[in-house]
Amino acid sequence: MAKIDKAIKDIHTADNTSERNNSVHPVSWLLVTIIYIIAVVSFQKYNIAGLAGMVLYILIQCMWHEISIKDMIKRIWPVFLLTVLVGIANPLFDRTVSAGVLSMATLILKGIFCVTASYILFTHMGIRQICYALRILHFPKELVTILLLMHRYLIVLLKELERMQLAYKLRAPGQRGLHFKTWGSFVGLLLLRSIDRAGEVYDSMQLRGFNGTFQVFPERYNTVRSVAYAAVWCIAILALRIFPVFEMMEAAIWRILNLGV
Amino acid sequence: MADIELRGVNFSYQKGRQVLHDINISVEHGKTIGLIGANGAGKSTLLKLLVGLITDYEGIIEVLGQPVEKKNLSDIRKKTGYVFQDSDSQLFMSTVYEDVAFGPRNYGYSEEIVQKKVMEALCKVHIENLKDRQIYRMSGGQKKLASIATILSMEPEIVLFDEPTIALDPKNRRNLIGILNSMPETKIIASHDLDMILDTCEETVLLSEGRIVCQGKTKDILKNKELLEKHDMELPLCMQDRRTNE
Repeated sequence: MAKIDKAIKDIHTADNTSERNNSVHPVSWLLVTIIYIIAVVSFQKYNIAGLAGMVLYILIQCMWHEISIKDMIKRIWPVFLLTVLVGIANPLFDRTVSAGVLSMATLILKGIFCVTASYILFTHMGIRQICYALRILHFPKELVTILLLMHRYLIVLLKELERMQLAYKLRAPGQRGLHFKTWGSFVGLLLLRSIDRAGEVYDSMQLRGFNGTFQVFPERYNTVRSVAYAAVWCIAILALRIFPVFEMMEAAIWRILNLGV
Repeated sequence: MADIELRGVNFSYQKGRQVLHDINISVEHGKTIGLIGANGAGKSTLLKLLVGLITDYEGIIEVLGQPVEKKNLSDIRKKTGYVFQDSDSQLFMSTVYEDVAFGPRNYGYSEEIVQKKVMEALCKVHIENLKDRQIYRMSGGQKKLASIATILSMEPEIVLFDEPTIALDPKNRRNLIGILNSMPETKIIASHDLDMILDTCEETVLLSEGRIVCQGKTKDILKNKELLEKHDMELPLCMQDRRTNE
């Protein structure tokens, strides 16, 4: 119960914070994230040292925007788990065990970096601004609307789940979780109820002039900051992609130590 | 010319199960009409027809002189507000301000005008202090007032209310009645709360099994015990003989 309530609260809080805090244009943010993901994905499967350097982007973003790494891991650990599960199968398909382990680690890191970058984008921009940016980049209106409404549907689904779970718990005291016999009807009813509710929410949106795009006001964004933000990050990501930062750091440290000796 | 005109309207959700039969209603500008009837009488369906949430009806429905057809829906919806029975269906943004601003923003007003419209709407329902409140932290009464504000910010000429007093405590209910009475717009209020209808509506339409049984002055209809009981309703509490309950 409390978990669902907290999840709803978190989604709203993320929406709220992102609405207020941004002067960087969402297109800049989105472009930087896309470039980062492309850069991460483009690493060779055995180039783990180079790939590891990409963690700097995540760390800097988290520190800059005060995103708690602990909270982030807590929220997206199921995706991490999925990435690990996919990666674990890799040694079976690769030529040798050691190469397989190496490519597994690369695959897991790639998955984690991509998910984390998307999480940072979402928490900082909010779904509305992301969709606005996607529309500017000429993504099909239908796809963007579906993305937007899925986000709304998630909240509706959670609210219905909270109500049904409360009703269940009150009539099944002492029982831990749902009895397996009720799973089918519970999930079925949850879907039916949430679809009905989502339909009403959509009606309400339409009655207030919604035509597939949430309105965002471009005048709030600072053009110079937005361009500078995109430019600096693109150069930084490119540098991280080309130069194996950690290897260079290691070499530098050794050089310093040797000089000292 | 009437703001709302329905002539010979029939509607069924599925073949063979007609929900509305030969509905004829005319609502003059600035009037407040009560729509009463037992559960399943067709009140909510009738309201949905007026804003084009359902369009496959038979007969004629005109809102502000425009037939309710797909091509006119944008115009009609701009001038007609609909307050849902369940406020949770109406409020979907994170804060009150964002939700109330949703309509004006969609109609392309600048942020400055949007802000003005939002503040005016919030002042009309006396919740300007809740501007930045997160929706999920609000009480039922506050949500209802916020729902009304979301409609008022679009400055509609007609407002439709579906069970506005449902789940409100007496104080919030009284507050809402005061707000409804202060609104100059043309209004249709669908409700079981006959005391509220008595306090807010000059005229009333009684629906039963999708048919108009009676329409006229609210007081005349609501004091007719026989008529109300015949259609599964009861006299408003204020008209009931209290001694029978003691």
